[in-house]
Amino acid sequence: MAWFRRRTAAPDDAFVERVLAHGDALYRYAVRLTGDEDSAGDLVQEALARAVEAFGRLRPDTNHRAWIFTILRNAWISRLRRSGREAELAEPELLADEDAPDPAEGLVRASDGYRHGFEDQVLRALARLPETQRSAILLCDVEGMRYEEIAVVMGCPVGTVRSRIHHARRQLRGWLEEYARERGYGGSDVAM
Amino acid sequence: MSPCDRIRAHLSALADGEMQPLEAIALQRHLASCAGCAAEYEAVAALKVKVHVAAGEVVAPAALRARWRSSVSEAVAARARGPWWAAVVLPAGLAAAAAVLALMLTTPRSEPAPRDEVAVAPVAVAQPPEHRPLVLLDGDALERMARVHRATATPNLLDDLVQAGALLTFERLPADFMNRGLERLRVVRARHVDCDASWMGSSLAVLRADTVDLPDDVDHALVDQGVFVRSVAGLEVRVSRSGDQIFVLLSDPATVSTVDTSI
Repeated sequence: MAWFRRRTAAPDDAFVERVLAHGDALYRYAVRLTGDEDSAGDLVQEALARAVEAFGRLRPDTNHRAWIFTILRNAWISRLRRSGREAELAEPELLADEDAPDPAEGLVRASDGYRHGFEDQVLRALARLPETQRSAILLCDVEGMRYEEIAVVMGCPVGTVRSRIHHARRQLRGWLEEYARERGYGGSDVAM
Repeated sequence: MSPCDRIRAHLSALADGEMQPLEAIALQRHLASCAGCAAEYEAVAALKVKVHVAAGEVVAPAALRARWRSSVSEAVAARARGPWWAAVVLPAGLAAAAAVLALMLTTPRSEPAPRDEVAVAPVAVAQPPEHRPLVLLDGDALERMARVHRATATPNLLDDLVQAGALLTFERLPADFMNRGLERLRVVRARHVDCDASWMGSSLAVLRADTVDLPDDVDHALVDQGVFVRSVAGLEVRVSRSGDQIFVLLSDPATVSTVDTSI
């Protein structure tokens, strides 16, 4: 009967509260995945429903946060595939470190950035990142996940997470430098 | 590839607190003597903060949260009801079973049914241990706390520590606290915590209090040592400003068991 009991176990209130407690974080991540708040809200709702369905597979030692984020990201990937957008999931060809252009020595002073709507520039640059790098950097910097946890969410080795984050930051810095130059903040007096 | 190039390939992981302790120390030593790499590290750390600030301020509208709650509740209720076919098949099946049972009961039998076929085996129910640790502190958890402490990770990780049962217990009070005569405190050292500064560059002490309503002089003693207080999910976390100690006061010691404190 164990299999039957496990499959039919209903989520309890504690489970509901636990998954809902991640709502804001899921939404924050979903907004950056989907690019708009309506789709993000729907995606979170779908992820929560999937979590309820997957309740029977939850083990006592499961990291709930990584688990629910995995569900959300998988739901997003399913959506991309259904709409023929799987190309967005392609891993960019990463340059080996020694061949990559050196990151700019200077970009934008933090104080300048904030005075001139720097957050928008950062969000714009984040949106340009391929999904694999964007997810890794968001889960790390915004959600405070460890690489190991991110690897669970993204279903990849920890070393891949490390590489994605490293390259994502280098790319972000390059783009932010471009934006800074466009706004007349380029040159040797800018640093980031 | 110059030594600096090799160093810079790891600065992102260093900023994320993801380097092994000895590697981190080696990197920090290089940064202390190389202005170029130090500036690069600062840039990585600054970008990390900018991403956090720029993308971290999104909050779901209350109406949306209410919609999620309603949706989840409905999904749970639907799951409790079972699949749609169960509503059709199970009652029919039960009715058929009842009919068969009724037939069996009304039919004279020459011999009793074999016991094994009708006996209901007792269901073994695993009992949870009486004193499950409220939280379990292992090396991994401490590392995360250290990252929180160093502001390279967000404090909400502490919620995870609590939820994941991430704190283990304690054994001894630092001598200077004992000497202050604070009998109400049972201060202990956590497993995996050593006072070797090479371990994540930090030593961490986890304290258990008989009550979180501490005598003033405890707070003063901690404050004197540069400790500030943060309350997270029922834990009072006292973190030293000097970057070398983290104190955690558990608010519910009754739920904390005495566990292996060997290091």
